[in-house]
Amino acid sequence: MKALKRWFLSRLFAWQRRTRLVNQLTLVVTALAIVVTMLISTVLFTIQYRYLHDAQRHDLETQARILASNSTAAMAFGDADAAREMLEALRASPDVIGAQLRLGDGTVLAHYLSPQHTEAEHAAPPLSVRAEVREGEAVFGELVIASSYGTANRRLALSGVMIAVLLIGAPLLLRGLFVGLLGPMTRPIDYIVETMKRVAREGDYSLRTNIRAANETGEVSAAFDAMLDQIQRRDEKLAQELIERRKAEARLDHLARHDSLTNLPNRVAFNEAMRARPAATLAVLMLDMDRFKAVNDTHGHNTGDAVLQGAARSLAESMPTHARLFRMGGDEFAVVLDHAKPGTAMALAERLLAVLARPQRIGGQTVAITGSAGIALYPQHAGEPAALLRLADTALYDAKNRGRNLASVYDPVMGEASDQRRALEQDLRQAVGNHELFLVYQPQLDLKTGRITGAEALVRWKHPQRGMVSPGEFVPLAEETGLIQALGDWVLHQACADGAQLMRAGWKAPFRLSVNLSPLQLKDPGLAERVGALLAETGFPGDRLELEITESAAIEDPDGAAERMRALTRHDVSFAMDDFGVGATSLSYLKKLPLSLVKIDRSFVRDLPDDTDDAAITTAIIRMAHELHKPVLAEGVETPEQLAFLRERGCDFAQGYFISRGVAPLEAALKTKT
Amino acid sequence: MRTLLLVVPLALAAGGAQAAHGARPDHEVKAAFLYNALQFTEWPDGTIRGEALNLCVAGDDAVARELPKLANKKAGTRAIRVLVTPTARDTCHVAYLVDPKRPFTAANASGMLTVASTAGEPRDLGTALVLGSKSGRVVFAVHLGIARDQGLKLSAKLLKLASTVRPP
Repeated sequence: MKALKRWFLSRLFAWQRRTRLVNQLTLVVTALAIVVTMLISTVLFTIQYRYLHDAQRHDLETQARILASNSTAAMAFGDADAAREMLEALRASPDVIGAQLRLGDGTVLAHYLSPQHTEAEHAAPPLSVRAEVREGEAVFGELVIASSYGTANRRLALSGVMIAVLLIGAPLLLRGLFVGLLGPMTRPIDYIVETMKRVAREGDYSLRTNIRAANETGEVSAAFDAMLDQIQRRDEKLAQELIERRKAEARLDHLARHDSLTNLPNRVAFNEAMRARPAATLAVLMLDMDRFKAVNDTHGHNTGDAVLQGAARSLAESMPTHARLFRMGGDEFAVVLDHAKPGTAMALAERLLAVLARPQRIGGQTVAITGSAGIALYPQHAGEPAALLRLADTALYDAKNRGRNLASVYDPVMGEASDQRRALEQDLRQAVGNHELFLVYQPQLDLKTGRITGAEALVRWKHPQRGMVSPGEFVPLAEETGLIQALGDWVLHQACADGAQLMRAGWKAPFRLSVNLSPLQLKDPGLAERVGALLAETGFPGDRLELEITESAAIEDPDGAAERMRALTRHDVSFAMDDFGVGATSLSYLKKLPLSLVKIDRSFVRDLPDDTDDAAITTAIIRMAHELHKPVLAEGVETPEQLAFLRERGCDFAQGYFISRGVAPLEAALKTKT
Repeated sequence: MRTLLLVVPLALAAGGAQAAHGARPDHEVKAAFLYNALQFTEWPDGTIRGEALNLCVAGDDAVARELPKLANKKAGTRAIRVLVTPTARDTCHVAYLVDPKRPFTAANASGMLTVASTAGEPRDLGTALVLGSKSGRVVFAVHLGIARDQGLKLSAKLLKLASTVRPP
């Protein structure tokens, strides 16, 4: 039973879901109409039945009373003929089956039988009435009339037909009326639905239903229009947001692919250009400014940036068609030249180098800088364009090695040199652990006393396969790769250890050990702490340690450098300014720094005393340093003339081959005694 | 419920009435006729005072001897009082005259239904109602002129049954 109910309900709901509301309503109304009509018909029919039957009975009773009244005399006088004659009047009533006039003693005075009726009806008539036959108080007998409900039933049949017509006609009429009335009622709803469908189909949120009605239809229309308004506004807002987001994305995309300083496409863009299907032949030019670091060091980063921007502008202006300029980072630029031949690539490189070499005026200063270029070609040099960058880089390195302000086209031989460099870098990383590095000490002569008062620690590398490797080769390599930090630490530690060992061996003479401090080491905030720990560990006294710093290291962050140097002076460590003169350092810097020695660069000493410029510079440096109460040491003294000149100009110390080459620690110590 | 009662009577219809009449002697039937006739007669207003309807019997015959049996029977709302030897002072509403030729006087000059009987077919005996017989059956006749003179109204139902009607 329950399952049945559930099944029925599920079918009903399914039907409701797939049937249009109008049809559902019409069906419900029709069904209701049928039910109501049937109910009314049944009631009406019952009432009619009762009424008609009662009416016929009543008529018959009336007829019986009249007949009985007319029959009184016949009954009173027992006149059967007269009585029969009376009953014959019933012949006019076709429904009457029969009648009897009975006297008071029960005897039948007269009777009547309708010939139209059957025996069965005679035997069991559906209706019978009786009436007393009396005159005043005297009762003579009774009249009994039997009848069928013929008339009533005929009328009922007519009513039945009418009811049947009503039963069929009323629902049909109602349905017609309903559909007719509902049509105008549901038309606005159909219109709304149609509009909704259009909105969904065409995505046109500017459509409106605009049904002005003071009923639910109007409300639905208004609500729907309001919703559309909102959607339209939101849609417009969304579109606006989308545009802005696309703009932002484009900006981000531009930022990701462009260099903020020069606004040139960057390395990312370059890589994409290389990955994208490029021209059948192309060249990659790598451009690099020579000694750009020096510009930064001397003029500061702002100037350096201005130089880069100027260079970028000039290069961009010089780009031919089919060429694209990228800034790869730092002072490196790349040019991608489509449809390139070796000749055209080289011509472009030379033209660009000429552009780069043009002096720039920046903030009242004139900065002259040159560049180098490396060229690699596709498909001559590589199977795929993406490999060109590395090859161009190799060619660039070659150009630098050949003397700068040059362009080199890639040659596979260069690749070998590059490979060797990488191998050397690998070996250098392991050199410390493998005990391939060692220190020599170049004694320093006090020109006033003629005594050796100190020595500079110099690092040497004995490569297991290659033999002695020049510091001029591996120190720049260490600086480029960041290995200089570890190398510098090792040198410092080894120098202190050597010095401490000599002192333990009984070496008492006053002296200083000079150790080169790389710019990276000077930048280290923990430098003082580490040097302190080193001194404590090795037992080497701080007052015998002199750290040599370069101009560039000091200039980059003069205040920070001065602070860290002062921290070290608490360990009694002293400082020397190395290679003084090459960086064109203003002497005012010297005042800021806690320096105890200024070392004149060997390049000024080399041509002494004949080169008047160098002589003048050297003399000036010595005088200025002395005015600041700083002693001066000349490096690279190789001849007695040089030594004599320097001594004459008041130079305090000298160092060089003429005095001694770099020697083992013990040997250096022994020289202090002479 | 009344329906079934009819089944048998309708089937036995024939002959019942004749049997009922044939069994009774004429004088009884005539007395009954007289009595029945009272039911269909209207007396003039004010002729009957009191409760009783006076039936005066003048003379003696078989019918006259039957009439006292009607005493206290009702005619309409009134009870019948039979006066066998009426005097002239008596009020007679109905008078059965054995010999209609003999003068009969009552206290009332009108409002008297006079009845006479004869062995044969009814004929004018000078009374309003004449009882007789025909073909072995009791019949009666009405003299409308006499009835009217007496201020009596005879029911049309009665007149319809009267075998002889003497026009006035």
